[in-house]
Amino acid sequence: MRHTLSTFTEALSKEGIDSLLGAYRAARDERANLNAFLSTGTVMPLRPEGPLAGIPFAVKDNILVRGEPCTAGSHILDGYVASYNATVIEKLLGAGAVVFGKTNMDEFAMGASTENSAFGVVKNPLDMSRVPGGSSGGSAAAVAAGLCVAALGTDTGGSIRQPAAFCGIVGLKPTYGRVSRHGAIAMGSSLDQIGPLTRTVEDAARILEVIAGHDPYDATTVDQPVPAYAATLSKGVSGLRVGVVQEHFSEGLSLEVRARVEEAIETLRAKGVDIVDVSLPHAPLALAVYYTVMPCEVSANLARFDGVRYGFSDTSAETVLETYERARSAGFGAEPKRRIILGTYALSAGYFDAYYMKAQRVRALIAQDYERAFEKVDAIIGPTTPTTAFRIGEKSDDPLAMYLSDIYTVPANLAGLPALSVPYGVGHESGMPVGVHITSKAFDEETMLRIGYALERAV
Amino acid sequence: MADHIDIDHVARLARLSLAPGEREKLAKDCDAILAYIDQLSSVPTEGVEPLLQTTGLRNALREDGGEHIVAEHLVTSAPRHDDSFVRVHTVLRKKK
Repeated sequence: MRHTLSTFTEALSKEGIDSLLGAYRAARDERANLNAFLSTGTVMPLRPEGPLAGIPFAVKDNILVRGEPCTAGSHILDGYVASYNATVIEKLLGAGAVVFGKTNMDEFAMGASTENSAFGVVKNPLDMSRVPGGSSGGSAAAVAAGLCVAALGTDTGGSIRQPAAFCGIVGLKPTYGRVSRHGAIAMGSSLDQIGPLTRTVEDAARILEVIAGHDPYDATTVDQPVPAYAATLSKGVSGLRVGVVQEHFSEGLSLEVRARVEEAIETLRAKGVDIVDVSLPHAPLALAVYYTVMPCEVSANLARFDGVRYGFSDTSAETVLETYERARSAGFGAEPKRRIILGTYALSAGYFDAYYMKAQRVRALIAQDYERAFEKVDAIIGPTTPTTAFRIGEKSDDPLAMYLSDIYTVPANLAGLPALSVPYGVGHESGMPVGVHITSKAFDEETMLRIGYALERAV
Repeated sequence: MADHIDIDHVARLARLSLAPGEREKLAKDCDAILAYIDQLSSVPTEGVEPLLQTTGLRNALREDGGEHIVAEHLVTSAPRHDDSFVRVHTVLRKKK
């Protein structure tokens, strides 16, 4: 354990790689603790016998760690220090894990490139001229660069899976209700889930075992037994039926991603998987639904950042209205403002039915498409992203182009389903990693992990 | 549909005051996004119940208790506070 920890502290101090990437901020208390542990061997992690004993973790900076600043990548939380641990942090610490640092992210988890942080751009460790994806870009970059063993991220429309694909690592979004959101700064409350970013499928399985389960502090968690995911990984995939969605191979999918995903499908077929064509006819509408429902939820969730309760406040304000307006106007960046404006508009009198309720009805159609598909298949496979990691600055001036990065990941959030991105080789043009996306039935993370494990073994 | 946002009205509702350059850029971006999501208006959804949440859970109740003692920290998180109170500025101003 001591060896593992010192390897990672050395990696962190090497030529300031963390500041080069812009991915990472070491946790204050933990850094002091670690230094004491490494120099004297006297301070031990809490539970040396736990299943994750001594494993250095990085945590996305929208998940509360008691005593640590939590910024959500925004100036509006300047000066805020978390008063309690998120449930996932309690569970990790209880399993012996070491919270090593907090990772940079798109402001309030809004973005697909981690260029939208108030604390600077995060770079892709595989090619520093490219983005690491987002919004959990700091977590993905930290894992890919070897600055931690694993990281936690949050996923509202693809924010774990898309950066995992861009950085060549594994990213898992659990079923909605599988993992507690208590202590995660909310973005879209009907969509958000916390999940792991790891180097291997087995690591993701082991971490999900620890963080999953019902939590009295999150009334949307479901009381379902948590299987021993890691134990069933090697059961093999022969006899499984896996669906390929025709709508996923339409225009917009780059040739290099398409080629790798088709190879992955052939690999599964060779392992005895029955590959079946399925149709999700409403899938092309998912992004339009998402960009209606999510801003509505954002506008409600971000109302709490008012300059009164926590974080940044303009001291020159004289009335409470000025306190609100000045804190929010100076504290939020462009993307949160854009989504607050859109959501406020869509929820305002006269527009609620036409936008919010209409989108929720189309969302029901998308979920019904999946129900029908899962009558025929055990899981669905496709690309995680239309392209590999793009260049820094390439899409930062065009919000709609950026939003299209999430086109294959958003449907799982809308339908509440679990999904996994597994690296499968690199694109022949860009030389950057390609992610294969596997979706399974609600609360059946086991099947997608088994398929991911089989693919990982085949690369 | 594809409406134009009355940006000043919506910003007021959202408690945002926008700088002039920022205001125009936001209005333009929001109109483009509204034009994109307008594709939903032509989807037939008669008789489809909206999917507001995916777990189907209803009324998840628990005992009413206060075991989560962080009140002191929460109050001291406020930018302006006095002992155990959060301070706010004037809510109503006298007419001059």
